[in-house]
Amino acid sequence: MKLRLILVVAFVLAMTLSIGCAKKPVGSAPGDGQQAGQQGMSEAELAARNLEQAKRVIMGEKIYFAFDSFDLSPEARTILSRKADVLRQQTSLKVIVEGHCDERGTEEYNLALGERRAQAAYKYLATLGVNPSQLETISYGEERPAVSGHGEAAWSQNRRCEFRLVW
Amino acid sequence: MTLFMRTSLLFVAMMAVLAPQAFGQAVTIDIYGPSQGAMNMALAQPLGAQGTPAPAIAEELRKEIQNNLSYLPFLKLVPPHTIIGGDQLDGYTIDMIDFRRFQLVGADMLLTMGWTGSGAVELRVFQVFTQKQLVGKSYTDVDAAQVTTVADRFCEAFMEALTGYGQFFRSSLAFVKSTGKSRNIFAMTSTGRNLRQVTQLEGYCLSPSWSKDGRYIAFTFIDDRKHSLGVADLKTGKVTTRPYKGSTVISPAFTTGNKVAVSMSDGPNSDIVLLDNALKVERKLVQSGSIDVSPSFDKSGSVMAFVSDRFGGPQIFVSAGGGANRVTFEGSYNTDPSISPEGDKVVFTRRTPSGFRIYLHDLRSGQEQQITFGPGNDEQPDFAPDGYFVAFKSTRDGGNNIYLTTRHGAEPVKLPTGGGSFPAWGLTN
Repeated sequence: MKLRLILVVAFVLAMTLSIGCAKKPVGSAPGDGQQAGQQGMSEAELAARNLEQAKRVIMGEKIYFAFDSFDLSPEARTILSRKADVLRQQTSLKVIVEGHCDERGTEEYNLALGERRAQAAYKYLATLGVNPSQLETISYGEERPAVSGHGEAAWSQNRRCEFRLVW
Repeated sequence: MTLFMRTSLLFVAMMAVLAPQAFGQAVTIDIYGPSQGAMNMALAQPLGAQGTPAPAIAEELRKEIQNNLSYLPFLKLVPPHTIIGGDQLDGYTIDMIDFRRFQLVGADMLLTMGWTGSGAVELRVFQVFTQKQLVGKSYTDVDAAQVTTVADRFCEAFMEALTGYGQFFRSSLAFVKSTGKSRNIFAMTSTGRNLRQVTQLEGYCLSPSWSKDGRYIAFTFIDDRKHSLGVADLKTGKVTTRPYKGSTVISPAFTTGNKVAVSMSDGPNSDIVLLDNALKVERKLVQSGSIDVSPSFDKSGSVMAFVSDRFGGPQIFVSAGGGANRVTFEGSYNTDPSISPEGDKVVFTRRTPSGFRIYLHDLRSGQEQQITFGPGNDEQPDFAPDGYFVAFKSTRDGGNNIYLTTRHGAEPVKLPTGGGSFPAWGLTN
């Protein structure tokens, strides 16, 4: 029994050290070609790379809506499923889903519409198996346009959901 | 702070009614009626006691009164140079006034100012045709600090004598202005005095609403993470923000008893919830499985207008204790309702092919009337406590500015806010 306990403690210590020790190669030497991949990286590097990838998938891609609508287009669903994959794998990530509107509505109604857009994305992510505790929603209505200007070119860019990682 | 200094000044300036002959009797123009006409007002030169010149402060008071009167769309001031014989009177008492010259120039009313002693002034408005006094007030100990208060109190008495409603000159406006990347709450009196910043928050302060007792302003506050309900206590200067369980806090509106109705969501739908006077959730007022926002109450707190998209697009509904009646049927996008203090009219924003415009819906007759005509977008109308004036936001001069019109759609006056949106009236004096 005692021996097992010592072994467990030693194992945990070893794990902690290897995670805490940055930039120490665990695989083959660097520079051994295209195949290096995960083998060529430290745990920390791997984590950092995963985070970078997650950031790109989560924060880089916005989804867009039709006027006065909160229906998810096929493109939006594709983008959301990529985000869902990342969030299912990295359950420590937390995302704020921001709902935005174009300037054409009135401000109070648009705040409610922005929340509907955020909720549409939230629900779809949850349907795809993302733990709801990883998700929050906020509506900015027409407070934070992505593009300034008046006209469909600007408006279509502003009717959107953005996704922000938070810690 | 200054708001409350002003209130105390009110008591310093002692008032007395001066022999009101035919008080409010002979006025035939009903400014509340649909066929209101303009009245012409002549201002006589201020006079001192027994033919002496008026003190220097007289000109200040005259300017402030003139500024106040410029907000009354049914009143036109007679240019002094058109008065044959001039605007200088022999005396300020009724027997000393030559009314004929004012009749000739087409003046309906004459305002006189007589300084009777050190810092004491008598202000009167006469009806020119009947040569009777409409309103007369005297104020003592008037110094530079009290000139605006005296002007406001006299104009209030004048409006009351003329129409029965003097609230305009006791009202204030809260509104939203950009401060760098944030938006904060500002306030001023209805004629542009005492402009000040009420909140200093980083984020977006929207939809201010004044409590009926004039002490608090509630508003939506949005920061990087969430919506909260903001409340500014004007008495202590304290500003608090308070989050709720759901993810939205939209369009708070004070009703009677310092309770607040606000739209909140827990999921895709926004319901209108009533908060008690400690801002705790009391009960749901509107729940329809759709978006319900923008509550607005009459002064009794028993009639509420709001927006719902339960039938597709956003439309105006009115609820008077249980149930809700749809009010708007024209147009596919009607929002921002503000109900009159008497609960008999609703002003709102309608999307039209030429932009957003303000409409007035009479709940008794069902008649609808457009009261603003752009250009640009006219939005966010708010009924003043007198049920006559309507403030709204417009982009007619470029950016967002606040304008004053009446429920009859008088030519809008731009308010000196230096930009702004979300005008909200409060009865603060």
